[in-house]
Amino acid sequence: MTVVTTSREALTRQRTLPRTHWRDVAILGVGVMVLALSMLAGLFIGPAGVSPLAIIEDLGSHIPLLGIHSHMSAIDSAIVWQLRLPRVVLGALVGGVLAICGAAYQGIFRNPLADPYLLGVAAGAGLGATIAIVFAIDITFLGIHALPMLAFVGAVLAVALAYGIGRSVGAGRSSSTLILGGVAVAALLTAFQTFLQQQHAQELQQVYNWILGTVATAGWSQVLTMLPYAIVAIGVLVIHGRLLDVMGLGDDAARALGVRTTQVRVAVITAVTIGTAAAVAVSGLIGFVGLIIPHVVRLVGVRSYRLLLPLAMLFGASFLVLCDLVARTVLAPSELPIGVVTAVIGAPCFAFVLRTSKVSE
Amino acid sequence: MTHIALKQVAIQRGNRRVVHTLTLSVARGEWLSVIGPNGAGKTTLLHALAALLPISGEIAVEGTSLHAMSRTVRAQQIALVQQDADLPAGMRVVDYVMLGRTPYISHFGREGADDRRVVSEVLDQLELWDFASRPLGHLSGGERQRVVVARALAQEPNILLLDEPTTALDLGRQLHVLDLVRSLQRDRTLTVVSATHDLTLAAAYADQLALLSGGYLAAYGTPQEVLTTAILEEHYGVSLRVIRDNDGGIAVIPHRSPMRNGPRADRT
Repeated sequence: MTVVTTSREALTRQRTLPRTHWRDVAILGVGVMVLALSMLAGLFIGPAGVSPLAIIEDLGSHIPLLGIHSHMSAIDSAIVWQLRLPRVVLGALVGGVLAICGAAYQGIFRNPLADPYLLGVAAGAGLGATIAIVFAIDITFLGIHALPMLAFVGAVLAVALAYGIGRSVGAGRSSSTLILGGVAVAALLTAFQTFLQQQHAQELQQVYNWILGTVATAGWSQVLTMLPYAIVAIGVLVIHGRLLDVMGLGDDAARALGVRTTQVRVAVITAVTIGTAAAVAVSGLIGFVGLIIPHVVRLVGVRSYRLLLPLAMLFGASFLVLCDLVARTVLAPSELPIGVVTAVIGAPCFAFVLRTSKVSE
Repeated sequence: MTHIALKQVAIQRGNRRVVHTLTLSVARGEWLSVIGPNGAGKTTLLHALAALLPISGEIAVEGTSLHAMSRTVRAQQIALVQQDADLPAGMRVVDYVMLGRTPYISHFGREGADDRRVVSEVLDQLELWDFASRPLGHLSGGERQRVVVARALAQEPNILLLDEPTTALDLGRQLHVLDLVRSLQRDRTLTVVSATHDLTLAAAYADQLALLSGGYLAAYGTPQEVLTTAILEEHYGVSLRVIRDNDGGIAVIPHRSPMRNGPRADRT
């Protein structure tokens, strides 16, 4: 029989939950350190063989009053600050956005196989990019070229279409109708893209290269293009962390707790779409990061989306920076497609984490 | 004093009307058990009481219409323990119970000292401290049910809705959970509305029974009044015997061979 303690007994032997705030801060601190080290590695290592000491010296020479003089040549300086650094920063942005978006979708759709491309972003962006390439559209708007612009617009339209279809079927209540809407839209847009490619076979290689993805840049412009979208997407998702935990109980339970589930879902889908569309527009279709990184974070024991979202972002950013480092060094001076590297490094790493993990699903 | 009042309530699920013109009231601190065959509308009624479904007619809590309250205020008063509640396998018990504090935490805020104090009290009262750090996936059936009740209590509700709280539990665990609910009902003057298939247990714990059949209120009253051979045989469509012992206990014993005409109200 149950013995339920009366309130007086409870007072005498009660324990209270400690604050866990500082533990969370410490875990995020580790993530920040990992990202900082990855970015330093990305900055220091490259086929041009500029010594890390020279880079540090050059960095120091920009700080006034230290009296440090750089011995770096103008070419080396351009390689480091105009090629490597923007590339490292873009890799971090794209990797971070894809990973946090994947984590958010896995939460909101309660589906471990969800990734940021779930609602047709990839197919829409693919069609947009293909149109830009095969029709050789050469316009720029606010300094943004046709290809990233059409990829972005295609991605956003695809998700809007998928959401419209899913909502009209499921009245916005069920996430599975949204996923099926995404499947339908992706199939349709991919068919258009395939048709265009087949009609313009001479541009096939170009389209294919875009699909494989790259974070190679010609300076800071892509970083600046991507930055505002990344900030908005990351900001919106991070503040929804606790609500994603509640949504994990199912829609009915979340609503019984006073959560506006439809609003939360729309906010998350919008943020993911904006972030992913921008990432795809500047870097092509880089797979694997958005699917696997959130699971790696879960497998090391982080379950609450409050911590999982920012940590997935930091790990995703580190992972893509390191993958890009491999992509541009192993076969230098030629480069491997980064999508190949993410899969080749990521899959065995993931299998290893899966095997050694003590946390059962 | 009337706590929950239903007036001419009809509930739709999709295109199907599941509950028809139900008028019923539940007194403060009372335990009402909703019984009835499968598909009679028991779960639908509980979901409507949690404002998860649109209704026609009116449900009022302490005189205020359920649909006129803000979501937050509603969630601070009414907690729902779902049948087969979804428990994210990797989540720790303490984090799960903390989610019950959602109606008290601002949209993008995080829990404060008050929330930790309430959750600590609930863990204490339900003797869950030993499980606090355990992942939900590692709990047995009885432990799961206690944890789900704990999350509901963290809402500090004054109305507790329980959908089949004891299915899949052995007899000992069933009594354990129901005893727990009864002591909470007494300690906190909780009003409890539960849905159940187990007529014997419903009789043992509930103050009032409401028998739903085909979406209509077929019988309402104390267990003594509702659990009669005639009423039950009519609505469950089986032949059975109701046995009363001297302490007021009621047992419902089915006869082995069912009647040929089958259950009248079963629509599933």
